[in-house]
Amino acid sequence: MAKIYVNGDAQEVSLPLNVTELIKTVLVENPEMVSVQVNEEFAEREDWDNIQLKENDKVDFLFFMGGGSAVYDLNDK
Amino acid sequence: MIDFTEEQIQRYSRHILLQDVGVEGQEKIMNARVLVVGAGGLGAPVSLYLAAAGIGRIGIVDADVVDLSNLQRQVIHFTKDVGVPKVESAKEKILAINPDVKVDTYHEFLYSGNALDIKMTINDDVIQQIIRQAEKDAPEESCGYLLGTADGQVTENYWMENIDHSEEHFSFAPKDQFAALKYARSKNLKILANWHSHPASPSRPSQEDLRLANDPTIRYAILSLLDGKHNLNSFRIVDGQVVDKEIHLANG
Repeated sequence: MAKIYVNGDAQEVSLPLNVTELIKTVLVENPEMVSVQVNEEFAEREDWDNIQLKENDKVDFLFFMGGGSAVYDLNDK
Repeated sequence: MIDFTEEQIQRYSRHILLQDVGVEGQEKIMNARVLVVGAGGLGAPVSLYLAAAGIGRIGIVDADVVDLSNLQRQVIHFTKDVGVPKVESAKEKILAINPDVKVDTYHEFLYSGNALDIKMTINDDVIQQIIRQAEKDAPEESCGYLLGTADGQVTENYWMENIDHSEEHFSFAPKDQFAALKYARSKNLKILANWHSHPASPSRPSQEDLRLANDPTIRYAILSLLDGKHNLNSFRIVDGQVVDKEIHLANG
């Protein structure tokens, strides 16, 4: 087991673990709606699979933020 | 840095003398906020000690009223309090011990349905600031983060670029979001909400707002400039549904 920090909170995880796997475990729904930084470095989505986490890493994720007053057809999901 | 009054130095002198507490430690205690769930056998003495120590803000949640059978152990309640809501009785004693404490009372039970409904309040100067920002950006939609303390007090507007530069849409750039997070952490603040303006439509989430409101942990505030009036409401949105609404400014 290793300790990493997810959005500031310590979590015990078992290694090896990459960013894609971590995000899937903490965000069961909508893993595609977040951006991630590891140790304050922005992590491009295409690199998530290749970033192996290690003890004391700090991972932060933020949800995509957007919206607007545009009127959409209620049936158009 | 808190400027201690003479009275506070005297009141907290036995803390300040302790090597591991000192002035800095007392300052941390005075900036701390604690929510006490239940003003009963445990919550009663805990609240008294927290108040005496100088915790800055104490919230108390309890739906009950004081009963004579409580007094044998719930030491914050007195004989004269029988029949009084426990939160009111507790507040009175906390303030009697330490008038510096700010007390918030919640005369209700805590359960999953209201645990996330900690109310958000927005300082007036922040509201004025986002109105000015939105009017300057109109007819484009303007946006930002609302930063504040964990108990829901918004103290800062953090400007975010609307990378869509659109009259009917907004988006944040992910890198800007992390810059905002870094800034908030450096000031020991939390991201409590995001906000955007509706220059020509009401202060309620559009279909698009609901579709893109993915974060259940923050509130979504919408400032409407429709018809030259200012309306600011904030919403908590879970699975595309509004589960809570607060009015921050009506026809201002």
